[in-house]
Order: sequence, then structure tokens, then C-alpha cells
Amino acid sequence: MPMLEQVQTAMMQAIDGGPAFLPDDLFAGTRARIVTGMKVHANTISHARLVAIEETFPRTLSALGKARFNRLSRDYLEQPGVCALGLNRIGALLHEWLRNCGEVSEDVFELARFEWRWLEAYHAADAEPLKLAVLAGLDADALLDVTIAAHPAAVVEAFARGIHHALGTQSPELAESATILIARPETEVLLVPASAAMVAIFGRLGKPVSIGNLLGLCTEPAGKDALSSEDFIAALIALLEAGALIRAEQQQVV
Amino acid sequence: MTFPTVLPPLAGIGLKPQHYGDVLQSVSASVTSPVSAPAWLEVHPQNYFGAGGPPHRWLTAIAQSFPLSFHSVGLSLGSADGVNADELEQLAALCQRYQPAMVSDHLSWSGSANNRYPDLLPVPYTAAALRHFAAQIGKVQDRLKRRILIENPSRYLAFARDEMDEAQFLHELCRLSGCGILLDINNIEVSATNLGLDAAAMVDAIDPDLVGELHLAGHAREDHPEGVLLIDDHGSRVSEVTWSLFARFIARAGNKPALIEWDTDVPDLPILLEEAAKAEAIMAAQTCLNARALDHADA
Repeated sequence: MPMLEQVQTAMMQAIDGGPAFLPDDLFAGTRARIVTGMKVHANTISHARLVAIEETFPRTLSALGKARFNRLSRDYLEQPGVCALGLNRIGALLHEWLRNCGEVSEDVFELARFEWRWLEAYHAADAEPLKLAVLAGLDADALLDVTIAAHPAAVVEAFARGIHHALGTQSPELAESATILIARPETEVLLVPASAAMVAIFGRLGKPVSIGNLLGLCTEPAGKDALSSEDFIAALIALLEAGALIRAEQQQVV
Repeated sequence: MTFPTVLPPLAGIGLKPQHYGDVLQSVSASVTSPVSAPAWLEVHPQNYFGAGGPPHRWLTAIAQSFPLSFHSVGLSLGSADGVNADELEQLAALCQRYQPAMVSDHLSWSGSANNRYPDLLPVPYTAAALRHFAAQIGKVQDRLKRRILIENPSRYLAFARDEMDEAQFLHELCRLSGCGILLDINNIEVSATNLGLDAAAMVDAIDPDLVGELHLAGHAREDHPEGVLLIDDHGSRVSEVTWSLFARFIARAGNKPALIEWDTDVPDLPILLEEAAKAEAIMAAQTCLNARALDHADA
């Protein structure tokens, strides 16, 4: 009997390359029966990978049509590193591959990127979003001392205009927004138009920061990128209302 | 938060997302009807490897009312590269979070470190493969700090130079690693049909003391020029042959936790509960027969 590694290498080559790669003496039975058995495994593997990609990208599938999506998915699965990913991560590289394959429009690979971001938000860690009502009861000093961070399910991204327009059928404001906030404060993934001020604030929440320091960071730099206090407060409230922020622990403050 | 920690010797079902709400409702419904709720539930832990989100909210609520069995499909215990370390760490974290009553995986492998094959591929039944597999189970049990069960596979191929049969391999695996057996009765029907083996003899060869859980499922049938091929697709009701093998096993083994598996073309919850009720009826009938036999012996 060959070593286990040799057995498994031969089986993987046969699954990937077909019966020609199957050694004659590895399995018992007739050649026809062995090939039939190997096909069951090969079909199961191929089906599982393709279904995982379909279920991850339903809008991209709809945009491309089933046949074209399936053909591109098969090409994608041939790319180095893709099949090293588990089924729940197998779509992680799809939008980048679609961007570079030269066969689809910008709107299609951007739609795939949007769907992957949506899925990441859906499965991100749960955390209690900081509510505006909690801050409303604080005096000014206490409010500025509150430390906040980005909610683990929140992300701010700009997509191709076509994606924003497509999402605009659900919410007209999304069609006009330059950037979208994807958040999941509870069970539902929310899409919120993100203003430039919201993007500026969110970009400084990589680490927990007190509201007072955040106000300073966003409003004090000289130049056109500095926010007014009014814009800062409006954007902070919008982020709070979207459930994109959490209250952070004091010791993590920067 | 506390979770039920024992898998009862009754019928459970595989939990599917489309049944989350109905399963939770069945807890209150079961007050008036004893067969409207499953006795326990099984999940594939890989479906809950995300950090959070709705799947965990549902599972947290459900786990407070039902004993859980985690049936892993991703450890790839038989891989020549060894157990998938990432999968093991994620499984360990999930076990810590939900404290399932049982944890199991398969007598199979699923690719290499660089190329994962989402299937349960067969392991040769040789002494070398046995030692390797037992060592991998040891790693898993050490990490999880618990005994796990290993499921007999559905086989479409037999290695030309196997050195022992499946029951011998499983028994030796239990002896070397301390694991138990998850006996999938449908897999026995599938393997026996595909490989020309005697299904009843395969069931009879299993030491019931090593079995911690049973699986019951349906399969697909294909007719080829070279013979019938059964495919373990979990897409239909349990076959009559499998029911018969199930009754045969519990007649000897006594009642065990028995799962209705249905993973493709999943029906409404009442269909799964009908199958579960059938499993429990067979177990109850066997309990009566055993009691009657004892009475006769005493007399």
C-alpha cells in the first residue's frame, strides 16, 4: 500500500484532472465502477464549491445570469489559493479576480465587492450599539469623556456609481451618496448614506477614542478637511442613529 | 446562561435555518403534544464559525431549550497533513461558547493544507492510516478536552489493499484514541450496496458499547451499467432497509440518540418530526419487546 500522502495526492489529481490520473491499482473493482465512484466525489466537491459561491453572491449571479456566473465561477475556482479557502470564505477573492479578469464591467465586480462586505457585516461579532439616548443624559464634560469605537459590524465604503444607483431603488438617498455605511447593530444589515463628515469621523475610529479627543482630531487641523463643530455633531449623531458606534473600555483609549 | 448537556436516547433532527422559528415555537407546543418538538438538535459547527450575527442569536436561543450535538464536517482528520488547525481552533471556541452535549466528525479526509475538498473522502483501512488517524483524534480530544465520536463513512470506493474491515478499523480507532462511534445506519446501507457487502453483518459487527449516537437519512439511487449506485445525499425519507437495520441494531444495543439527517431539498419541519416520531416508535417498540423477553426469562 502506498503511503497515505501518495494515496491522497493520487486521489486529488484524479478529482481535479479526471480518471486519467487515477492509478490502476489503488481501488478494488472494475475500472468502470471505480471511475463511477470517483465521479461521485468529484461532483460533490464541484457542486459544494459552486453553490457556496452562488449563495454568497445572489445579486452578482442575477446581474450576470446563471450560465455566465457559473462559467466565471469555474474559472475563479481554478485560481491559485481559492480552493485553499473553506466554503464560508471561498468567495473572499472573487471581486478582485472579477476586477482583473477583463470579462465583466466595473458595476459587476463592484457589486461582488458590495455583497462580500454585506456578508462580512452579517457575520461580524455582535456588540451593543451606543444609543444616542445614553449620551443625551450626560453633561458636556461627561459627554466628551465617553470613549467610543466603531461597531465591529460597521464599515464605510464607496462603490461604483452604478452600485449606488442600484441600491437607490431601496433608498433614493443611497443613489446620490458618495459613500455608504454598512452596519448591523442588531439582526438586520442596514445601508445608510454616509456624508463626508461621517466618513471623516469613522476613519478615526480604528482605535477607541474619547469624544473630546475625536472632536479635536476632526475639527482642529487647519485646512479644508477640518470639520466645523456643527458638522461633527451632526455626523456623530447620524453614526449613532445608524448603530455604527459602540462604547469602548476606558483603558483602550488613545 | 446554561445549556442542556446530555444527549437523550431519543430522536433528534438536524437544525436548518428555515426551521429556526418553528423549532423555537415547538418548545411551547410540546406541552400539549409530546411529538411536536425534537428531543435534541444537531448542527454543523462550520455554519456558526462567523463571530456573530443572526445565526448565533438563533442558536443561542435554541441551545437553551435543546441539547445540541456538533457534527463537524471540516476537521479533515484523515488528511496526511494532519487535522486542519484553523478548523480545530474555531470548533474549540464554538464548543466553549455553547457547551454541546456531543461533538463528532467523520472517518474521512477533505484535502490538503493548500487545497480543500468539501467532501468526505475515504481513508484506506490500513495499520498506518489507523495510527495516523488515532493521533489526529488525540489532538482534537486534547484541544477540546472531551471525547469525540467518529462517523462511519458512505463509501463509493474500496481500496485494493485494505488490511482490515470497517468495523475492525473503527474498533481499533476507539481503543487507540478513546473516541466513540457515531454509527450512520444509512451510510452502512450505502456502503454495503456500493461495495457488495452484507449490510446486516456490518451492523452486527459494531460493538454497541462504543456507539454514542446514530444517524438516519435518505439517499439517492442511480442505475449504472456496472450496477446500482447509492448516493448519500440526505435528500429524502429514510429508506425501509435503513429502518430495518436501525431496528436490528437497537434490538442488540438498546436505545441511543438517533438523528434524522436531511440536508438537501429540506422539507417542512413536520416531515422531519414525522421521521423522528417513527424512529422513537421503533425504539419504544424495541423497549417493550426487551422488557417482555426479560419477563419471560424471569418466569
